[in-house]
Amino acid sequence: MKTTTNHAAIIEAQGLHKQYGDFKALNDVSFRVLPGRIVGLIGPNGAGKTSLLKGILGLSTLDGGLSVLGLKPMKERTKLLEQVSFIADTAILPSWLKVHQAIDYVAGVHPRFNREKAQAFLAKTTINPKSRIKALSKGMVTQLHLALVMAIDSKLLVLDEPTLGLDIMYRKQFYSSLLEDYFDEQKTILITTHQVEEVENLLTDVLFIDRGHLVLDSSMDDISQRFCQLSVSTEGRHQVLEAGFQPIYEETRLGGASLLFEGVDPETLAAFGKLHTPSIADLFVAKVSSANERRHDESTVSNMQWKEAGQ
Amino acid sequence: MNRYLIQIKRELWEHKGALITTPLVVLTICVVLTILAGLAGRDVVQGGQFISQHDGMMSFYSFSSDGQQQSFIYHKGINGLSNITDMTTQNPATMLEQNPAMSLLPALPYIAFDHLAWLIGLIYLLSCLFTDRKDKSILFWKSMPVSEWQNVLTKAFIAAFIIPATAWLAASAYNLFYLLFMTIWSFFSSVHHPDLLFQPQAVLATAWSFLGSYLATSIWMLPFIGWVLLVSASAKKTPFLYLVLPLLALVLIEYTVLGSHHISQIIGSYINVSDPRTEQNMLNVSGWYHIQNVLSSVQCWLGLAASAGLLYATVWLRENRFEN
Repeated sequence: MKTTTNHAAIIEAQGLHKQYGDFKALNDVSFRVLPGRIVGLIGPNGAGKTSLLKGILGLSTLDGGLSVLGLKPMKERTKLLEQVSFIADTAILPSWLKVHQAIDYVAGVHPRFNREKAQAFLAKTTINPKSRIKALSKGMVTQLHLALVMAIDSKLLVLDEPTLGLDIMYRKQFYSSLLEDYFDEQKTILITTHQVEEVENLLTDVLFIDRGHLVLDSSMDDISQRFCQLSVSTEGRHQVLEAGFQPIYEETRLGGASLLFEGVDPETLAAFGKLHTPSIADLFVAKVSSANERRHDESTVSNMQWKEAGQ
Repeated sequence: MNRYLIQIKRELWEHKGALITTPLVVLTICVVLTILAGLAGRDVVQGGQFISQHDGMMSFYSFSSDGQQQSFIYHKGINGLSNITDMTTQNPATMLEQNPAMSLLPALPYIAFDHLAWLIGLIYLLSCLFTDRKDKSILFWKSMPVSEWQNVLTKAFIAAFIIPATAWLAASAYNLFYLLFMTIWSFFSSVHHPDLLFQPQAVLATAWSFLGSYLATSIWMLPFIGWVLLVSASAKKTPFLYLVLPLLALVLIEYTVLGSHHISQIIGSYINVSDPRTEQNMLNVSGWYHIQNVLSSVQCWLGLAASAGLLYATVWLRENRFEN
């Protein structure tokens, strides 16, 4: 993230590009993730999140500079995975595997796995160690996967839609276990999810990505200082605009509007209506919309220049 | 646990049905049928003589003729009739030479189990790098610090050595059982010389001989193993078609363009598991000489180079092209 510290970055990305044919999945993406942070990678479907995560995990090549824990993910994947764990929505545990076999396997291949810790976590659940994965519910499979991953003393945990398809009980348990039994200042978590509201209170930083572009890279502390949301009446909205304040996004609400500002002193806006820090969801919509408008404008200008040059 | 051993253990967990249960079930069926056949027995009247069949399955008979005990080999009629007192004076090698069918007897389980192993190996190889992509568990395996080289080489090792070793052990276990069975059974028969009916020397010699044969087969089949692994890693569906169609196309192209059959002969040498010099099927005819024949053939070394290329391509596919 942009916070300046002397810590060595866990992830250092510089000018990342990924192209599938004519489609640019990632376009000049740069960011840093520092230790002890919980970073939300937020973006709509097709935004480039999976391409980015795959690159970070050494599952596909990315153009540009990428270093994870000081290693090149694609070239040093095996070494990297001794310090990086991940749960992906598509990383389904094999149905033929038994629970105790899963523990034996991870204990056998992973030098940083703590068998007792995994067993202690599973003891809190109703999972039978002799059961096959195919006999477990989706929630139980996620609990098992989480038990395996949390028992690994990794420096970076990557979660790609980890609670997709789970009911609310399991989703709550998932995140509370993650915070209580896993996370500490030495660990870093990178989460992508569509259910932003569920992770909003966990995150220390956010990365917004849309159409391959990084549209926001900020800590949550910065967000509360940089952005503010003003709820105003219809009349109040006119007054705000007449006073020369330009919101980056506005949304009509019942009997008024919600205006989102960036880099405006909240005290100067307080007189017009009710101020609060925007939610991640609102901020995401605002940033993506304004970025799209900007790209559209740039594209229009560029087309006009081409036409003029053609004449 | 050792990181390499746990990989092998994983394969045994995943493919328990093919690698462990199937040979065990076949072994059990053979044992049960032998016992049943022995218990059922059969009486045959041949040339006015009353003959009792004791083993039922393996073509050995004994009978008492005018108070003199004799044994003989039965194959589509009586042949190899020998007087027991005469046979005890012969050394086993001479006796085996005079009664070749006798030496075939302990070889039969090895022949049966190594053909079964060939089939199991093919099914295992076709599925081992296909099912984790199909059931989408590939990302779980990839989340572990295990390189694709280790993964792919483990599977090749299982196919080349563990599956044949299982077959060898199953066949040896059957022969030991049969030896024990015949020893016990002989006490209830007119022949009290099980060593003549089924020689321990022949059992051990055959086991040793097939060990050589199996090792030669493992080395010889490496290019085939590499090819099937590549198919397994690349096929999006129906790996068997991916296995057969390109080879069939090559054979047809060669025949159509050049009018020759070299490719089909090469493919055939792997399907038949042929010794490159004697052209014997190494699954049927045992011997350590196969290793020498294999290692001294150009095709073997070209095949090993091809295996290295095929394994490299398989690892590359696993690292760079996979569905999730």
